[in-house]
Amino acid sequence: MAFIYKNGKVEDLNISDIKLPKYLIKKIDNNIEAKKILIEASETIKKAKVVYAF
Amino acid sequence: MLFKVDKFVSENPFLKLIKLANYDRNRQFIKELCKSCSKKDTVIYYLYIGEEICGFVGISVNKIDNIPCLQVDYIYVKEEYRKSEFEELNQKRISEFLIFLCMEIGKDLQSKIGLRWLALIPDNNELEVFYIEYFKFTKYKTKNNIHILFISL
Repeated sequence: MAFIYKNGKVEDLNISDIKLPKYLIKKIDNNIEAKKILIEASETIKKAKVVYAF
Repeated sequence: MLFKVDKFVSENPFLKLIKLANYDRNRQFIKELCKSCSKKDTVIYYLYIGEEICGFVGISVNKIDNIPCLQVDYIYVKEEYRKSEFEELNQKRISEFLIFLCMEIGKDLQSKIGLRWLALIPDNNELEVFYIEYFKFTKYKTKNNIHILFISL
């Protein structure tokens, strides 16, 4: 569930019915820089000295 | 320093998380997030040292324009931990680590149930700029002036 702060209160926000323009969908799907970030994310999670308790 | 990650699933961790926030605005977000967690709509992953929670992120699955997304419902880092990079986290800040964790969870889910994007609604302009510049999110501004950020998984 998404939330938004509006007029001093946090409210639920339904974003499922938003219509995205086709150009934007293509832009998101073809974002090459984002793919590099995903690799960095994977490397960081692997290298981090963190214990997972689940 | 030993960091650990755990998660809250189908419970209300309000009393454990509310004490991390100093401002009413953040407390309200945490209250709603915890309600969502108790309804099994959100899972909250938290990073902690010893008994102290340093930061957390709540994530859920949503379809946006019929595209399956992993959605960051809310992310919060305790103020005293915000600016520091930690060697244990591969020289990343806690917020960066938590977003990277969401991406990894998203990639894992993608191989099991099908998932296309990670989505989040930034809490303010400063964070929006950070997410776009650092993580390369793509922004969409709705007719109602809601800013949603997307990145393909």
